[in-house]
Amino acid sequence: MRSATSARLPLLLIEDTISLQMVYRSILSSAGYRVSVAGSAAEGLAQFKALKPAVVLLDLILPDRDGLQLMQELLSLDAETSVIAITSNGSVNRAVEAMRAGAHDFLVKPFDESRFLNAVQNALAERVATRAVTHVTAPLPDRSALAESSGFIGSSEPMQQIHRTIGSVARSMATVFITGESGTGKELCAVAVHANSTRANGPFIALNCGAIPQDLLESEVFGHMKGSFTGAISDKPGAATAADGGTLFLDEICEMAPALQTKLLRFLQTSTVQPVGATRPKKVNVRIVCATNRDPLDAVRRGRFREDLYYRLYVVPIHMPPLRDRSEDVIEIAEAALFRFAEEEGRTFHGLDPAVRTLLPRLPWPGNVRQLLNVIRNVVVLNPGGWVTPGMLPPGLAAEDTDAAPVLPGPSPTPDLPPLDRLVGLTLAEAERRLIEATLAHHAGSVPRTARVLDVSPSTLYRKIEGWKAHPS
Amino acid sequence: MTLHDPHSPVPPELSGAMMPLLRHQRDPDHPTQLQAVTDGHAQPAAPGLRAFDAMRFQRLLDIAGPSMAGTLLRHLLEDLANCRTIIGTGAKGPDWDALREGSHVLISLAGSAGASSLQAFAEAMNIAAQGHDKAAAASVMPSMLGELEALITLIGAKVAPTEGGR
Repeated sequence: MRSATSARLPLLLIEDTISLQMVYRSILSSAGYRVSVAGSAAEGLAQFKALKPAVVLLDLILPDRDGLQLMQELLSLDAETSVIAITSNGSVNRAVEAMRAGAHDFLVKPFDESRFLNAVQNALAERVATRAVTHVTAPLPDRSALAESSGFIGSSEPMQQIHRTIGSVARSMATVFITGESGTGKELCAVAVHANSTRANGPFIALNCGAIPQDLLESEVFGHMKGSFTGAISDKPGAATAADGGTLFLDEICEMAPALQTKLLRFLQTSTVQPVGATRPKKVNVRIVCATNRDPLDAVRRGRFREDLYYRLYVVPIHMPPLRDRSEDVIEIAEAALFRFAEEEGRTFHGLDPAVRTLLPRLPWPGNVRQLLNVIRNVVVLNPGGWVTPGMLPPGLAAEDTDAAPVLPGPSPTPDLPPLDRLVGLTLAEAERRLIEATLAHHAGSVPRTARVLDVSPSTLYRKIEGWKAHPS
Repeated sequence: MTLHDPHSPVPPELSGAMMPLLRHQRDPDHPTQLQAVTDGHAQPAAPGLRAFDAMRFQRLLDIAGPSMAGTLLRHLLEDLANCRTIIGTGAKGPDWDALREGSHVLISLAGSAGASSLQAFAEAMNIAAQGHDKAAAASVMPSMLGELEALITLIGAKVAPTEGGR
């Protein structure tokens, strides 16, 4: 419900089509908002400076100036203003650009009144919340504090870039889409986005879309009413309601069933949830962060993920690099884990001996940070203490040393082998390619080892890989 | 959906234009509306418009209120006529910027007025303009201009009674 405080804050509508200007102004005025209107970028800028509006509704296509440029100027004048970018169907990419440049939300014309008012209401509510938090607590976190609070260990350039991105995006409402192989820390990244946002005091609800049976997923996300289906013995709020005022983290988003993707899209558009069996929708204020270990655009191309949902979610992408691409962080992570686990297990370890310090960064780590942590846990549990030597490492780990077999720069690795039924519908050539890529990824790109496993000659694999490069699918 | 059903009242250029749009147009609030346009089941509530949502048009007038409905219709007519001019200019080059701008505005106007088939044509034109696709633009243009004229005529007919009632 709109508060009296938010209703008094002025809004600025910058729209050059007079009839649409009239319609939007009428909707806003009828809802009780104070609204000023500008028909050009120049007029909009002048009114912005005079009014200092809380929210600007900005058409991205204006006669006298690019709307995106205008938005950047408005935000440089007052970073606290929430800009809602307006574009039309067919130009959704422009809206995505606007979100990346700092827009609070976007609307695709023609839109209905409820979506329009929801966007304005959310922007105002967010501004009120931001101001309250800013006034009561502290200024924006600095980068080093962010690194501390994020839980990530590693000072490599890729990780510093991730800290910078999280710092920039955390206080916006923009949806964050995290990609990366299994074990790279996608959920930690989501927690860091939440912890550094104005919603940090609200709930952080994580839901793994791939781990919940599809027929229960709707109930898990949106909740259900008692008696709405067999087994619904009481009302259940659902993750979206539980995350009200906070962040909803949807992991393995590409595994979501198409029907539920439609409902998620409606939820994102209307900010309302309707539990299974409920007669009325309920409004919630939730920020979405999602993650996948797949290539989401590839899922769109294959028709497994809705394109409109992709564009709505893929606003600020963060890619978590595999550990092999930031090998300079391996020792830092290993030592931090060693001392933490040693303390937990009541052991005393001095550190990693030189041979281990040389070996660990050279390993491919197909399971990424998770695998490294498991190795260190294994060392701590199975050994009494002292310096960690190569002999304390799990058997076979040293054999993974990639210096023995050169890593081929080739197709991007696919971390997990898909279940067999997901291959149904692919051509034989496509299924073969997937199998080869997944096996390559499993063996850290080593063609000789992959060839041995697949029982083909390495030259066959090299020929196929060259063919894929020449004719990318 | 097939490429074109010979028994469908929808001409092949509309079916063709709609093909790339359907992926974008699965609005959960109106899941079947555009499918209905292409399949020829949409409500033909206005002459010259393959699909027209009269309730949406009425809602537009309700938003403006009785005192401003006439003004809104006049502005709507001016904006639609302006789109026609811009698109007409764009068609001569073709001037892709003009076609993109004109179709961009037309998408919003047609959609707000409930002219969903015209909106679909404008979206197809917008995509064609963005991709500098002459063939697609040429196939959509006649139907889009025809429906635009029809919407202008329909609104023009409503302006007079609204004005008279004031």
